[in-house]
Order: sequence, then C-alpha cells, then structure tokens
Amino acid sequence: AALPQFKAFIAGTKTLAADFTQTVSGKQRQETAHGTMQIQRPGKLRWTYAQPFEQLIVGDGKTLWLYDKELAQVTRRDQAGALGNSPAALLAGSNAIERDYQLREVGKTGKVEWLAASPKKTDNTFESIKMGFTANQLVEMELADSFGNVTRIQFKNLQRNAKVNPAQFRFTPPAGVDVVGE
Amino acid sequence: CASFQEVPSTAAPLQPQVQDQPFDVAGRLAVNLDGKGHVAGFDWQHTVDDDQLAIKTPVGNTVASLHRDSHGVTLLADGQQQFASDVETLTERQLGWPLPLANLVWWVRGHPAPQFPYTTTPEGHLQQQGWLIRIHRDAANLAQPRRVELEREGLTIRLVLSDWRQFVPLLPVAPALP
Repeated sequence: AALPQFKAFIAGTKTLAADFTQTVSGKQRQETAHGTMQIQRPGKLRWTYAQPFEQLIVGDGKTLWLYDKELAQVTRRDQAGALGNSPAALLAGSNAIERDYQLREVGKTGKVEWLAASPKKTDNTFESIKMGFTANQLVEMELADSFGNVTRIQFKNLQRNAKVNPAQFRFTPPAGVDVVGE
Repeated sequence: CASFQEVPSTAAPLQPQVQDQPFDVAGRLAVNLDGKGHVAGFDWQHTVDDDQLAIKTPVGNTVASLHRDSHGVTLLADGQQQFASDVETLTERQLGWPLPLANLVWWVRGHPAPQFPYTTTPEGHLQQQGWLIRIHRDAANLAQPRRVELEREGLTIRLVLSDWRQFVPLLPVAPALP
C-alpha cells in the first residue's frame, strides 16, 4: 500500500537527490522538461530545470528564489507562502504533511502504488496531487490543475540521505539581473 | 483575394498596412514593476479576432487564462472570472500592471503596431505608445524574434519566445484605394 511507503519515505529521508523528467499534457500539446532536484528536510530545496530552458528554484528555508537565466530575472518570495503545494513543498516541507493534506490510497498501476494528497485548505494551484511509490521510494508525481493540464514528474537516479553540500541550498543573485519581490 | 484593410481616416498611415496573421507561441515572461514582479511561462494563440493566453508556473500548471475577442476580455484566475473592455485595463486592475496585448501582438513579431505612429532610437529600437521596445533575434532564426523587452517608466516586461509553433510572415497589403 502507498501510505506506509509514504510514511517510511518521509520518516527515513533527511536528504534526497534525483534527476527528473517533467511532462505537461494540456489540451492540444505536451511539453517535456528535464532537470535535477535536491532536498534537505525540513524546508531546503534546489529544483533545477536544465532543458529546454535554464531555471533555478532554491528554497533556503526562509526565502524561495526563482532565477530564469534567459529572462535575466530573479524573483524572491517568502518561502512559507510561496511553496503552496508545488512538488517541492510536499517533498521538502516540514513533517506537517499530514496536518496540511488529506492522504488517501488511490490504488496501484504496474509496480507503482499511488497516494493522493489533497490540501486541507483550498488552494487553486492544483486540483489534485498524487505521489507514486515503489519499494518505499518515491518514483513519480502527478499534479492536475483546474484548466485540464496534468503534470507528470518521473524521478530517476534517486540518492537518499547522501551528504549534500549546504551551499546547494543558498542562493546569491548573479550580477546584472533584476531581483524582484512580491 | 487580398482583403483591403479599412484605413482609419484619422491616423494617416505612416507605414504600409500589414495583413494580420494567426500565430501560436510558447515562452516565458518576466515582469518588474518598481522592484516587484513575477516570472511565469505562457502559451499564446492569436488569430485576427481572438487571443487566448495561458499563464503558467514552471511546473506547467496554468494559474491564469486570458481570452480576448470582439466582445472584450475575460480573465480566469483563482477560480474567478473577471471581465473588461480591454486587456490593459483588466491586467492593470487584476495584476497591478498593464499588459499592452493589442500592441504586443505586433511587437512579438518584430513589427510596430500598424495603427499607431512610431519612432526608432539611434540604436534602432522601437518607440511606440509610450513604450521602448527592444526586439532580439537569434542569428539562426531571423524571421522569428527570440526575445522582446518592453520598458515604460518603472515597468519592464521581458518575453522569451522559445517555441513559435505557428508563425506566418507579415506581408504588406496593397494600400486601400480611395
């Protein structure tokens, strides 16, 4: 079942690193992006898009930074509010996941056991969030918005509790870019 | 047959009238209003009488959807629907900054808005409707602009046009015969 695997995953994960493939399917088209992610629970994350564009998202525990290289702009947000229920929040969030989300089993496809997490307080970023587990390892996430788009994130090369350089979770805006707040 | 565009009697045509064409482009935009702003992805489908613009997060979910047609403009965001006569009024009211969509439709294709006068700076950048417009093209693809930057006192809007799914070159039409 997915719930015990989720609990084991959260309880047993201090740091996590993985490569990911993100596929967004909308009405007429599909867009794929690739990147890497690192998290250190609670609250620290680094979510890097490498293809087809370069974008870096860093949560240092207090501030959530988003840097888009080609747009030459950095946005800074208070991390608590900004995470909403983006995948990073669920993975890196404090252990209050059960407090903020209703968790229920939604069955198995192939070797992947699925858990649905619906935010207790309504948030219109996502209509539904699902996490897929195999052998106590998070392998996939699926996020649906209210406009009919579904984002699927598949994780590969997962390394759990490896030592992660703390500098990965700090961000200093490069010279020459605009830094904008809320 | 080429349809003749009605030349507004007030504005003397400063440039050959251009026939509008549909386009479909995806990319990202950055807004900076006096140090406050956002970065977001977008999908934009344009036809002569209709614009559909989706604003997205990096994770790909849509957070706002804007639709313009002859009746006006509707913005769907946070589960609510807002309406206004034009995009600038609506975005100013809802987002705090005006998105000059009616002109941007031309600027993103590297062309001044045909119905308004314009000037160019010594460096060759466009000035129109109170905006400074810088259009950047990749050497590998001169036909389709890659980046467009709009500046108006205190407000910068940058667009990266990363995926022109449909682009029809803008060709001048024969001037309207009196």
